[in-house]
Amino acid sequence: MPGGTTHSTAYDGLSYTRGGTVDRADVGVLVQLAADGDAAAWKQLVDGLGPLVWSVARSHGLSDADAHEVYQTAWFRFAQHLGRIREPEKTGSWLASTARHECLKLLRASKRWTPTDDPQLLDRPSEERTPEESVLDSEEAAAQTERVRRLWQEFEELGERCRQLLRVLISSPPPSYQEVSAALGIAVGSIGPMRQRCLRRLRARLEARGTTT
Amino acid sequence: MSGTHDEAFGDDGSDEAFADLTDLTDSSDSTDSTHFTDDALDTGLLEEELRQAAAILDPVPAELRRIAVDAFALHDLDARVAELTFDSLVDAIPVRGAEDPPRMLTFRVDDVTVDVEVTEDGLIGQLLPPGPADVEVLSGPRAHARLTADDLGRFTGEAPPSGPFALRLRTGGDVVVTEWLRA
Repeated sequence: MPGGTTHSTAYDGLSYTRGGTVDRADVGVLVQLAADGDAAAWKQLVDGLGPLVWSVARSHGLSDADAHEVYQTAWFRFAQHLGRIREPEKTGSWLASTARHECLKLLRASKRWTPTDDPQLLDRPSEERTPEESVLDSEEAAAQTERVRRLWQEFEELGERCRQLLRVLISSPPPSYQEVSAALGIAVGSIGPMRQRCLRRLRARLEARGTTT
Repeated sequence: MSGTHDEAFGDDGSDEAFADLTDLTDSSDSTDSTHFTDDALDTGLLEEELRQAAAILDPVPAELRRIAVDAFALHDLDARVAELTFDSLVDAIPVRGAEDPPRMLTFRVDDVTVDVEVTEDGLIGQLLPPGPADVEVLSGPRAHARLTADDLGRFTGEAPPSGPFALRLRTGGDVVVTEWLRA
């Protein structure tokens, strides 16, 4: 089966349950514009859906190098299929599904599960500063940075399933449940309850830590 | 890990509680209004904070974003895309004792089939129906290597680069590109 080129339509009957629809409303239009040669529309797609693709690679516990390759493969393949995708408005799910299949292949090829806990991640030198990082440069930067780091640390120590689900859910802008389903191969209906459960668990960890340190 | 325990979610029920996640130390009089907390609202706030953390600590690397933007050049509606129909990594039964078996790939579009075998040493391909063709090994928007298929449709080359690759085959006026994948 050609990985990623077929996308599930099993959830067509279900409505979106999150705000993702608003952010995703333009996707179909942008895909059409890009297919007609509009490079600016393509760039908007990269910025709007790139974080989702990246989150899929990260959530599968790949090494940095492998995650990079998954991300590239998904975008190369999308560029190749641009103008041929039957449901352009579902491009987010198409990309997420493509990335997932590549992740599974890589894991199968290496037969190793490289832990995603990269200690350097937390101390990554910030040469290229994102707008979010620049915010941290402002006053109260130290306290804020510390808080973000501790939140991330607790997140990384969650169980495998919760970490995987949350990593995709927290891509920006927020993905639709259809996209999360395509990214992780789990039913749309189970995402909401799992999400609540994982966030409760994370909150419990944070509070436990807050009371003991 | 102790799992979930609802009674542990002590806070004063206000929205600000999670704007201050790590500073609950001194205000941890856990109990009272816990059961009346809007759980969905609170987890939504926590998710949002986590989203910001991801944007700061694990963003899409800048060079990857640039590569994806540049990938627009790969958009080519004149070429036919040969889809991956067989991948030994997924479809083959492992051979006992075969330490590092070659990767066998088959791509197909309409009447055209491209069989590719990738080993550490190189790449061997067969175009069907057999015939001469110019073959480009792509590793991104630019060609990585150029090969030629002989009259029987056979072509060989050095191993494709690590990372995603595709083949672009030209036969007469016809262009076929294989689906991108990682070797």
